[in-house]
Amino acid sequence: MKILVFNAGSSSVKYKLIESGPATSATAHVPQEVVASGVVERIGTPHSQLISKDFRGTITTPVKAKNAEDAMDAILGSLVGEHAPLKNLEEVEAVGHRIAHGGAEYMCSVPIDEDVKQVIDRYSELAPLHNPQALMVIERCEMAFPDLLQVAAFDTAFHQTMPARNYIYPIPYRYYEEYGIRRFGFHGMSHKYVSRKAAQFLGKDPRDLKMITCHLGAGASLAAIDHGISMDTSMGYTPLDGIMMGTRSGSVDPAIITAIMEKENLTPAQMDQILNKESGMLGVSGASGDLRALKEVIADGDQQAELAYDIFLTSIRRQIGAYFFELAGVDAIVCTAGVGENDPYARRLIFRGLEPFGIHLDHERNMEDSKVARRISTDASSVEVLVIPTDEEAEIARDVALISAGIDISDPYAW
Amino acid sequence: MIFEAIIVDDEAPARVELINQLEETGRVKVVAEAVCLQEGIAKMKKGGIDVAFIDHNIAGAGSDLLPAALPEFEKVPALIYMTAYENFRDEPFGVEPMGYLTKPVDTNKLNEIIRALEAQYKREVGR
Repeated sequence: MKILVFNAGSSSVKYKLIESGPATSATAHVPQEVVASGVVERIGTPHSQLISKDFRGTITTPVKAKNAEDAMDAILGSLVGEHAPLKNLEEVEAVGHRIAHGGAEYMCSVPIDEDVKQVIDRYSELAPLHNPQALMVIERCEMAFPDLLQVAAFDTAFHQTMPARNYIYPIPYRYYEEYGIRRFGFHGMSHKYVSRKAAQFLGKDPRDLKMITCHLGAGASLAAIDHGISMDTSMGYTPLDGIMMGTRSGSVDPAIITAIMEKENLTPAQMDQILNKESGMLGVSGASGDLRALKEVIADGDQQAELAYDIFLTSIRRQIGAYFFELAGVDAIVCTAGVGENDPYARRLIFRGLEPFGIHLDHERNMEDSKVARRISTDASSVEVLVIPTDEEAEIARDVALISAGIDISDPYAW
Repeated sequence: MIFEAIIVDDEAPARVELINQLEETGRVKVVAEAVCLQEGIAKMKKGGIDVAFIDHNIAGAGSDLLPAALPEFEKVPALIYMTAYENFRDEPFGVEPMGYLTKPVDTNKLNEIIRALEAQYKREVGR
């Protein structure tokens, strides 16, 4: 079956058209092949463009996209035609949407109905750049595919198995009761995907392993996964919590926030902008929030950029250490996303000197330039260190295929 | 006789601590772990488990999962409920356990439980 997956960001809409094999059970492998993929980027600017990739090659087309709806028109237009991936839109059999925030409402992906749309709308307050765009994309799909199954895949869902000791913040309990302030966690589709793929790589059942998954992209989070169940994760009420990121601070002493607001007479919105867009590696280095650009500056001898890189790597090590203790040791540590997959130097610095804990990096394996799932620890290492390329769209398409086949995925504890 | 055990507890450090204590006795080997009751039941259904140490607060407690699953077990393991408080005696799974242990587990109490297991085993073999 052909499944169309959408991922609406603050100024982009990504898509993937996936040919999916049959889904036979919640744990079985579902074969997939990408037919077409692409993105409309710089939405809302005069320079918006569609980059599409299919059997015709990679094509960049300028488009007029004031909003996500225009972007959708451009994407659907590019997919259909005589010499296009689809002859007509009727070939699409189901649609999946990545939704940034679903709060604690959902533990799994669900078919979209009016109630689900209301929840997505309700959590727009906590994901103002993502949820409203996703709703726009969903509504455009309802017009284009009126009779099709549409599935919402929440970034928060996988982490809703966390025990209360890990999702309640140490502030007055009434804030949880009155406003629902708690840890939600994000990057769920990625953590779920790589933890399953890691178990597959090791020839084991995810329900027999303890692991730490490290999603290290422009946004970064770690998860402590015990027997396939997410027990803890570094992002919190919003994706600002946790380790240092490209432009996000991650966790800081909360008193710093009130102190800066007082000193500079800032509004909450201004402070939010500083913590989300002007902090992290960009904030410390003053140069860039992009690690590749940052490393070029470091090569030129910029000490502040080097400091930013050091803080980033240290924050990852600190979090891995915390989860290693929380899970009383682990079977595997998984690196994924931009930095996790492509930066062997960062991996080397993150995992150095951990031999007393049974973590032995194999330097040759670590340096190997590869795009596939691989082991970078030595054969003698008691903790497996793996690099597993993530694929959130593949995970969304998998959930769509399972739901479409009538397989119950609603209980994450189910065997 | 070495008894084969499962530990069902969502706190990994508590599981590892109990694994070490059980292995020190030389009479119990932990062959499976689970973080929720559903997973524990699935692993017990596979058979070969003599004794199950189950945290009384585990996800799935309070449901009728365990009584519903018991008839499907090839052999029902001896059930030991792990509680956080001394003398706390509830039946969160709707099944009478063989005994209770308070966490962190006292070695003498653990040995008492193992002696009870051995006595029960002898009675069964002698039948």
